[in-house]
Amino acid sequence: MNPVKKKGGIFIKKINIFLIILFTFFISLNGKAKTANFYEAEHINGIYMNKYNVVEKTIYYQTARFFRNRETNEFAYCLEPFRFFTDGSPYESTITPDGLSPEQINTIAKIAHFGYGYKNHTEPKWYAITQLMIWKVAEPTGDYYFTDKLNGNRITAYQDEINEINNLVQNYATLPSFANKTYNLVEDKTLIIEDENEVLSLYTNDNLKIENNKIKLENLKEGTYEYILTKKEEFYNKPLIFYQSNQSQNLVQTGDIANIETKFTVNIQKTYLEITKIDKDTLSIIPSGNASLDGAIYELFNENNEKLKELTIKDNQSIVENLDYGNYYLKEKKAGIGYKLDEKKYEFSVTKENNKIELILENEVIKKRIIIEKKYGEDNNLKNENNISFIVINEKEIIIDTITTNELGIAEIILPYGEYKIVQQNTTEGYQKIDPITIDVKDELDEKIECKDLKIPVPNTYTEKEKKFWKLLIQILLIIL
Amino acid sequence: MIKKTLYILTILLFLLVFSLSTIKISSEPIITNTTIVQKEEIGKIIINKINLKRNLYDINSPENNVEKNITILKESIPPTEKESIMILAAHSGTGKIAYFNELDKLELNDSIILLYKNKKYIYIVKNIWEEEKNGYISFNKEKRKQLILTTCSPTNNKKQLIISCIENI
Repeated sequence: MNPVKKKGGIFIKKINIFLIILFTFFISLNGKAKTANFYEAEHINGIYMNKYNVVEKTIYYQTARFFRNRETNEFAYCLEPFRFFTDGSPYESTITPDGLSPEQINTIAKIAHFGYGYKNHTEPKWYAITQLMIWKVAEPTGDYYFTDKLNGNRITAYQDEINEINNLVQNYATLPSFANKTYNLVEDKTLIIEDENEVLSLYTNDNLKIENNKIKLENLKEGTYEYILTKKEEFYNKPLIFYQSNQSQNLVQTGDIANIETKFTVNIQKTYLEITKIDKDTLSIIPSGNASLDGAIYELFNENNEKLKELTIKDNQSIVENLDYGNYYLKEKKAGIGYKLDEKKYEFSVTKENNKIELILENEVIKKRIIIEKKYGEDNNLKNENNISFIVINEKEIIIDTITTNELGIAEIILPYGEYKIVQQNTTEGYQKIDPITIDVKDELDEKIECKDLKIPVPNTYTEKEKKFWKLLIQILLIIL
Repeated sequence: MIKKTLYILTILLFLLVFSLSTIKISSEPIITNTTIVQKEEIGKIIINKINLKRNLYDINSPENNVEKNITILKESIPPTEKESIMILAAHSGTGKIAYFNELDKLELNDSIILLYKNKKYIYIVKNIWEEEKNGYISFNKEKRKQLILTTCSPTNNKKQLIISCIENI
């Protein structure tokens, strides 16, 4: 017997004692004790019993015989094996018959309940067997046994029947294996509880469906639920009553024993997994450049590496409600547009104590270094062009930065994913500004842009010769005219 | 009266002689597809919009002279090179050699055909601007094949007109 069950047994005893006290209280509230009168009724032919009083060293032998209530003719059992029955003695009902401890009373009540008359225990032999068992409990110092004839030899008989009654008594005291346990469950999950003691079928609860030794709980919302399981023994539809007399042996008349109640508790909790996406460089939920943190897809795996679902980031977040307790990990399957895939594995555990998991996960935007090399001069004599400024304009036509060339004619900027225009703001006198440069950042390769402003000599392309001729011709004509 | 008529006839004769001296006999080559058959001619520029179709001569040729033809400036890199730049200059104004007289009629995205060493290159106008006329022009050197056309501004004799074109790929 394992310690748990032993503990359960003590608990049952306590319950029974409590129920007896309650019963006593009930009787006292319900007025006067019942009175009765009993007589020795019919013998049970062929069944012989001996009672040996060890103290007095006296053997009492008899043919098994019923005691019956003179008024109702209901049968009763003797509680005092070594005290004689006096016919006609007045009896009064009692909850605490003399000479019996509460434990003995409890056991005797159960034996009487499950003994003769219980279900198929209808043959008279069951009365004799039940009586023998009650004696053993009521006066354990004695020796009680069946004999082959009146005052004959001890025989081992009716052992199966005794075992059956003992099993019924024992099972009655056995609670479901989950009695008084508390279960913690995530909302909307299913809980199936199986009774290892296999006595669940003897219990009822109007709100529970008990099938095949199991209870199934589904769709429970957040909260604490206490379920009371009741075992009712309403076979006889009358109470079991002990009778006591000053003049005769005490008796017990069978009937229903007290109900047994036990309970179990279910705590339902909501769980959350909340992922917030941020930009690794800015630690902000605002994406860099024209990239998008939204649209990233994570795969959720359990500890057995089984993929449970895909989570898509929308409005920088993804929430999973009511993830069952357990260990999990997340891995990014696809990054948002313009971001690099995050290769890390994010492990976490959902527990009763840690039911809200908040993960802030970063993505690094694709960035490109843009190097502008500005030169000017005549073709074979190019110089670095210093202090030339460029404005950087994004796709929304917003100036996001200004860069200026150094003494090497170089200006640099790192731009995140997106399209940009770089527009020259000033130039060395006599030189053109370069046309706006369009930059499309889609990878991380450095891009060097060489900007050369050339100045070259050109010949005079003005035809003055003809003009002089026409001037001369007009003058001649004027003179003539 | 006779005297006046004589004067006028003399002037007319003078004009005729002058005109003959400035009229050039067109030496347009016959082009079959992209083949140029005439000696020293290295290519041709065709701008349909302004009905211009003129030969180009080797950079070292005496014909490569702004007083005779459209000239290829010596800073040019021929279009056979990867990052080529052809810089062409010609007269505008009046007279027979004012080949770029109507250059100001070009607009952005107009196309220009350059035949060079039996190969055809098509450029589009990317930028048009004028600079102070000081004997120099300045422009950006592009990574792509580039064509620069320049002449005097037809509207302002103190300005130089520059048209930058890039190869239309």
